[in-house]
Amino acid sequence: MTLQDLLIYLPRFVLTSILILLIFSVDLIMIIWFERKLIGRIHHRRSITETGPFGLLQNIADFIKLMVKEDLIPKKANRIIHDLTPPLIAFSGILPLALIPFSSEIYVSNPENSLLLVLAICSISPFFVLLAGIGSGSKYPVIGGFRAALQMVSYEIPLVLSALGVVMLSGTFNLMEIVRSQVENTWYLFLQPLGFFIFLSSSIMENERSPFDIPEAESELVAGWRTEFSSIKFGLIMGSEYMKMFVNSALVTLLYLGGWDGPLLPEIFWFLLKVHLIIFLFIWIRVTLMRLRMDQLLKLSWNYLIPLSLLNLLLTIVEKVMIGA
Amino acid sequence: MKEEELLSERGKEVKLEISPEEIRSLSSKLLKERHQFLGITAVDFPRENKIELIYHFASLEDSTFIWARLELNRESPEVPTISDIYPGADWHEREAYDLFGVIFTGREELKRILLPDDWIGHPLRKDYSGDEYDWQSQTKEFYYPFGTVKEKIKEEDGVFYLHVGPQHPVTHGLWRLQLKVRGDTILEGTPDIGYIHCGIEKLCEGLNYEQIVPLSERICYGSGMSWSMLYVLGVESLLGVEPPERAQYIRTIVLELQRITSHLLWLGAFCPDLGTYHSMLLYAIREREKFLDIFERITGGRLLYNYPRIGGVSRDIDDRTIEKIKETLKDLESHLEEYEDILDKNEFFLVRTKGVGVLRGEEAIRWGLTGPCLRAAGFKYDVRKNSPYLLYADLDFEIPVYKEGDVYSRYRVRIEEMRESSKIINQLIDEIPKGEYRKKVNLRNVEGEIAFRTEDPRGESMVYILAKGGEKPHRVKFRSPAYMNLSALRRMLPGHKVADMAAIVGSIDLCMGEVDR
Repeated sequence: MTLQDLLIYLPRFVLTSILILLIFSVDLIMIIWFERKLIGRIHHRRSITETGPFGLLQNIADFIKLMVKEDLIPKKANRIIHDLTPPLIAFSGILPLALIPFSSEIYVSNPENSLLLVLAICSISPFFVLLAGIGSGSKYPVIGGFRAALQMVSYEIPLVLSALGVVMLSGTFNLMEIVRSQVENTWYLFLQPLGFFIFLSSSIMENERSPFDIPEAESELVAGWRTEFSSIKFGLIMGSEYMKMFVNSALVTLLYLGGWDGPLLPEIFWFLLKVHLIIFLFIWIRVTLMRLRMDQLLKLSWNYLIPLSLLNLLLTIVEKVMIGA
Repeated sequence: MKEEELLSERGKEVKLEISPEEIRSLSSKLLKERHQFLGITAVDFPRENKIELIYHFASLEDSTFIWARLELNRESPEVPTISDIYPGADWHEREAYDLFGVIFTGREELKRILLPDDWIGHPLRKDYSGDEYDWQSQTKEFYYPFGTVKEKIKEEDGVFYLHVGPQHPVTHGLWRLQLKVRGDTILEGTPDIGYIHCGIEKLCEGLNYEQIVPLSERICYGSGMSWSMLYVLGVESLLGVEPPERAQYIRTIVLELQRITSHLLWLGAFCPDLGTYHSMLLYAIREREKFLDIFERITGGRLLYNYPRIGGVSRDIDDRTIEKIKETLKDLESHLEEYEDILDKNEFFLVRTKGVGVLRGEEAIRWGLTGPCLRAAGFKYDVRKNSPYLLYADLDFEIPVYKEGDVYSRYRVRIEEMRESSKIINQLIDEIPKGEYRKKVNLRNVEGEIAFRTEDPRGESMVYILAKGGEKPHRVKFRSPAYMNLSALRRMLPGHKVADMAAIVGSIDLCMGEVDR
């Protein structure tokens, strides 16, 4: 890289980073507001209404509340782990944004194997969760932490295997290229319906959202691995859940829904619209289904999702051969 | 053994007088003949220097109701245990020890159940003063919440103990469940109760008959009406008072309305136990709200009503309310179908509830299940049918029965019971006769003894009243169905995953006020 390249690249890097962070943090607050409102609607109640118009400022008020609350640390907790894990979890949630293109113009970086990198970063967070559980020094977080590790065993393989179908069709691990090949041909949703379904359900598992919120398991484990976190540590963990949700929906959009592909309106609009449609789906599923048990989840994953994703790979090969011929 | 048979319109009542040694052979015989153990009532007689124990049994097949009475010396009250024949009697024996100091021989441990372990004296004895136990110094030096677990629990390879409660989302009240867990599998589950024991039975001994009505209502926050009604019906049948017919109609209607609200509250509380499924909670509460409005119209209260009176009810019911009840019931019908659509077709719900927490057959009798839990276990037993009270004898309704005995069938039984209740109300609502709704009753110098049973939303409830003249009762005992259903958790939990604990605990419909009394 020459000096001239760097001079062009650096301002662009800084500017897009700031832009993406801005879009993202405003969007994060909106997603939380949207979730509360939507759940309220499905529950037949009004949800937040008091703070600001339509309760829009409620999340900001909640954030301030979390900031000024006392940070309680259990006596038996490992102080260092307890302090370090929430920022690390939030970090692993926000890092994939550096690799995800928001449109063909707006992206922070574009390495050759960006899809692989995103998947790798996403799979770090269960380790931090396990660490947080053990470091909390009480029983419910430990159980929650181990459940998170077990859950990873069940979603990681189908997630990657189903994404492989897309990679085989497009012939690249680069997210930009994957979208480009979709813009040129057709969305992979139509070529890979089975893969889409598997990827979507594995994404929900990765998000630890209902019906797969097993590590959190409110009714059995109080709050699972996050039981002992309070104040802004809890805020960070809460926020990282929504970051993960955003990242996962963005991945689904990029891999299967043609990314920013759409007529007339700017690319960024189409991208965000699709991401939010997937988020809407996540929230909808959350209020409709009950939680599975750990063993039932493992059974679902190893007996159905993994064989199905292998079948999906086989179908993709057939597809590829037929298209090639 | 002395036997005395009474025949009333409620069925056959058999009163046995036995010696303490005979209780074991009697209870094994009754178990073989499919009798449900209802409870142990202890009564203290300081002047005669004796403690009487009354064991109540009810037949599951017909209307037979059995009293087995035995007398014990007050200084050294000892009686053989029946907790190996009826494990459900275990907690009743512990309660009799706790409150009366009756020693049950032949069983493993006899710990206090409602009071703290270090309590001094037995409060329901007549000569108990209450000064021995210095609770102020106890609370000052930080009362250890797990006080009942005095001995240090040893945790070995893979086995550990998990304390669920006293504050925990699944407990639905204030109690503690001590789980012994290997990996994710429950080996033992021991409920620990007594956190909100407020000595209602002792308080009753200091109040006159009218004053007990609002107190008895405070036993259960989910269905106050059925408890005050139980007490009032008990006193009336003790006095032989026949209240006006209009009052009987209103009472039956209100009781069934209360059953519907209680089941709706259960449905709402149960579904969040299975996951972050709060949609059902909101839906069920929405329906319940309309019924609470009706209660507000009829009685003036929404949670506690203080409605029944000895000899009638406190207020009359008006035509507008009757219209409202009809509308709300029609609404409920369609909403019940909606609930069934949501839950019965939800694969996730079925997977989490079918085959979970099974307790059926003879085990269900031995552990003393009653109410929806027993009907889900395949027994067609309902006090309203087996030994009818109020107007139930002439009404046309079905008892829903399921065979599986799991969490799912308990849910089905409750949903269908709501339908039956609404059927009952619809039969009565247009036929309410005109006339008085309350009648004066002389409550001075009441004498006699009664054990009155009704079908509470949670199971079979019973009140025992012993009156020895004067304005106050000598002894009042409430038999709570949730008390025994909760003790049966010890049988239901082992072998299940920790995640199933939430479903099983939720399915028995707990009300801690009723358990601790």
